Amino acid sequence: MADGHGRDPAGMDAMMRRVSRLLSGFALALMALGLALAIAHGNAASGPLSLGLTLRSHRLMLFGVGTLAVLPGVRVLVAMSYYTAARRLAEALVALVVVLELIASMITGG
Amino acid sequence: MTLLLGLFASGLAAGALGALLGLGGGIFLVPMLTLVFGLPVRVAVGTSLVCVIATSAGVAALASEEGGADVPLALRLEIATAAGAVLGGVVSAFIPARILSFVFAAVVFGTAGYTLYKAAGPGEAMYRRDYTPKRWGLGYSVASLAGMVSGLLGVGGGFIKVPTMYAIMGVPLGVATATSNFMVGITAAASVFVYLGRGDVRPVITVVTAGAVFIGAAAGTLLQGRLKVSWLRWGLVLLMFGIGAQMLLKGF
Repeated sequence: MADGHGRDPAGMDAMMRRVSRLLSGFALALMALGLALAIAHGNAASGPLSLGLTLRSHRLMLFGVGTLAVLPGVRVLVAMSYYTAARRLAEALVALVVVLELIASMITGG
Repeated sequence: MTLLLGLFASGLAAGALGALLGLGGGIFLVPMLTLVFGLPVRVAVGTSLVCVIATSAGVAALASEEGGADVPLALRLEIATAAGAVLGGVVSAFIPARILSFVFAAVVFGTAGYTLYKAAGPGEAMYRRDYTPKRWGLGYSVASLAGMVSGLLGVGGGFIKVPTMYAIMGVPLGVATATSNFMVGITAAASVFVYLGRGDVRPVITVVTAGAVFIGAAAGTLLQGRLKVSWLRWGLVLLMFGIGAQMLLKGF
């Protein structure tokens, strides 16, 4: 292919950065909220109410981790859509293979 | 609380180093989490994989347009890396651990030596736009070997990807580190769901470490533009010699 750096379709870099900021910000906010809940209620560890809060905080943290974990795949999807729009089909196909590989790993792992 | 502070400090250091050197940081975190904090290996690896994605995300969120990854290069090499990782996972059952350690050390020393050989040339810019990746055949081969090493030894392989792109394929070092950061995020994402599904990702430990890694990676990314290419190159070579020596000792 021999495309040098900087020849990506116009706007792709900026869109990938925006998506990265948005998703990682959301994931970090969820993780921070879950951690704050866990610390706030961590010492009062007896009774069903505390157990419920602990579970909720863990769920929030894991949802944040899951959001962070899908970010690389979303970035590849963004790249694939830009390459497709620019009719750079070889690169779009390569991106599709990587996306399929990630989906397969999610199905296997989940 | 001491444990959380320790995890936070380790995460900051791993994130900054990972962003600066184009690694995910797992190569520092897994030994730290198991040897210093006493976590089971599978939990350490699960935590480390999330942290590798956090490093990749921190770099992606803050990298300047000039310092971005070469996405087509990353995606093409990632296919070879993934194929190598699958093959490595299959073959690992038949190769003794001692042999694996020696293979690992040989690969790392060889790459470090070649990077030093390349460093003997004239000074160069960290980022350029006028390069064309070359020696694709050799690049694919070493990328698949990096994947195979990942599958065999359970590491990310960024420490092989950066020198491969830089020393073999002629990619500027700054672009190679950014591209490697993009790649290690994908590689880690491919394995992290297995660990999440098995319950090997402990929420509190992972959130504290990954949050710190993200902050460290962001700081490392901002620092990268102010560093000289020779500092980064020496950092990479020293790191490779350290890892190679560690693996050699493990083999004896």
